[in-house]
Amino acid sequence: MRHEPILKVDNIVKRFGGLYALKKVSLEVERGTILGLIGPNGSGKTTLFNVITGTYAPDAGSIYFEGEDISGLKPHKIARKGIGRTYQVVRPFSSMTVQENVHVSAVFGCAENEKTGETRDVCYNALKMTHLESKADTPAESLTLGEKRRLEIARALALRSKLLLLDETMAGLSHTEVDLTLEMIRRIRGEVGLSIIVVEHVMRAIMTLSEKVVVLSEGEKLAEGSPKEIAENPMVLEAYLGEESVE
Amino acid sequence: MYAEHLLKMNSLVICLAFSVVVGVIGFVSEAATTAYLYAMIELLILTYSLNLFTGFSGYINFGHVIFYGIGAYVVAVLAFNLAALLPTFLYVIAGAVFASLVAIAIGFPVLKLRGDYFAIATLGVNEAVRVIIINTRDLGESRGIAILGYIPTYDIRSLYAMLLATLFAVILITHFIYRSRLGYGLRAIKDDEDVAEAMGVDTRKYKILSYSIGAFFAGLAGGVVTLLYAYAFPDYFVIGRTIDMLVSMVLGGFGTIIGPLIGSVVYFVAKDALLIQFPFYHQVIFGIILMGLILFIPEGIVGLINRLLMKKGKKVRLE
Repeated sequence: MRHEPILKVDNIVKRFGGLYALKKVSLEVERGTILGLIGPNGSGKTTLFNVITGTYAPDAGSIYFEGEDISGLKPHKIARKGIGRTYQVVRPFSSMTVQENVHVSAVFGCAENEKTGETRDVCYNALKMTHLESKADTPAESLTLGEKRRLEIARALALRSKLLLLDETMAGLSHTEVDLTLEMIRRIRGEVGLSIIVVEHVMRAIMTLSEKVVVLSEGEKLAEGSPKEIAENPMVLEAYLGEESVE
Repeated sequence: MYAEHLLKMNSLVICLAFSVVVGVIGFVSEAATTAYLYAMIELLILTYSLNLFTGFSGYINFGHVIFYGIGAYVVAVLAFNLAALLPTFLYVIAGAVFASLVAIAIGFPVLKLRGDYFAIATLGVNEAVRVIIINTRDLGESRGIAILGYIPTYDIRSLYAMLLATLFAVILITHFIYRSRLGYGLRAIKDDEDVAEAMGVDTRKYKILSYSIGAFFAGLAGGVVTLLYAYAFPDYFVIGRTIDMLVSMVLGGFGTIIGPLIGSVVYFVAKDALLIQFPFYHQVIFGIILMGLILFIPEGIVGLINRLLMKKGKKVRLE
């Protein structure tokens, strides 16, 4: 069991009408590692997240989480198995306080009969890990963007995620906030032992965090390798520069 | 000072205290006053029952009144066939149980729809049920079912007691759900259903559950009212009553414990007073007042009070 990857994406196809958003994408995430997922806008990164978390059912292919086929399961079932996510455009529960936001996933991320004391510990640890413990009673609506992004991570932690999908957690953050987030992600991996997939346009983050990087372009896997290999790959450079010259 | 003291107590205590006071007034005053309060408590129960589903989940339901009507018809049918074989309150409970079963049956397909699409579908469901009723011979078609003489006639005070008991029950259930697993799940659905799912909330299960709990209490109200009129007829299914509930709920502050109480009382008293003052134009005037309220305090009276409390730097909040 130890050497088996925590997540195995096997030849996933996702179509929207005639448009192929994902064309036979495969990848593996090793236990306790960080996988960087990059690619130009519209290359299918968020679609892949949506397929892994069950928001979309794949048209072909399978997804194995801890060796179990989870493709086609409902999102809440997948969440309870231990896959947590954040959103590119932040989506906290805006009518709730920070504490209540985290409470929701702490309560629903586990068996129904758990004691309230345990739930409280889970919430507290999630908020502490994301430096939000002083904001517990603040309405989620009035947080800054950086805090909202951290709240989404806290929510995923309170879910007892084993695999965390971070969708552009650093977009729009200041330099210091990016540093803080990097530090936090490293600690989450180190202390909690989570496996993480990071989608990011901030290259500094991808290069320093990930053990392995996968590049998507127009729904296909373009390249896979260590951050160094990817940075030197001419196809990757072309995919990115091509996009920029169109803009 | 006094008001602040009152607010420091929990919203549940205020609701229950209010119900006790209204209850006592209803018992000691003359029949006309009791009848007035009876109608008000009926609206209170209905608004609370709608709040249990629509208030918590954010799913607008234009067809809530069907559960009230179903509760009424079950009582009428049972009384018609069994007469006084069983105590009549059992008929009322049977009606409520049946209403919640119908809610589960309707909820399974219809609650697959989201938001506005669900709201439109409930209009259709409401009409469908009404048309079925007025075309079913055993249900008396458009004449309805009269049960006068089949069961012992009640004086309004004992029915009033039954209605009061229902009110207490629905307030307690609302309070209980507010801080429960179900309550958190529903509030998450109201804020963002996709995210709720991604956080492990079985959204469909919780929506159907709260829909049927709401239906149960609407069914209770319909059953008790049928005992008073000794008559169930298709007008129980008119959509206007659902609108009364929706407006009361929004006016008070929906998805809260005390909101439905404040909203229903204000709505009921104001509507009645306007009807007496301006028999011809009361609905026009009332419409204008409502538009103003929705424009300026969309979060309802509870939200307004909480905003004022926050401005004054007070820590207490209504919930």
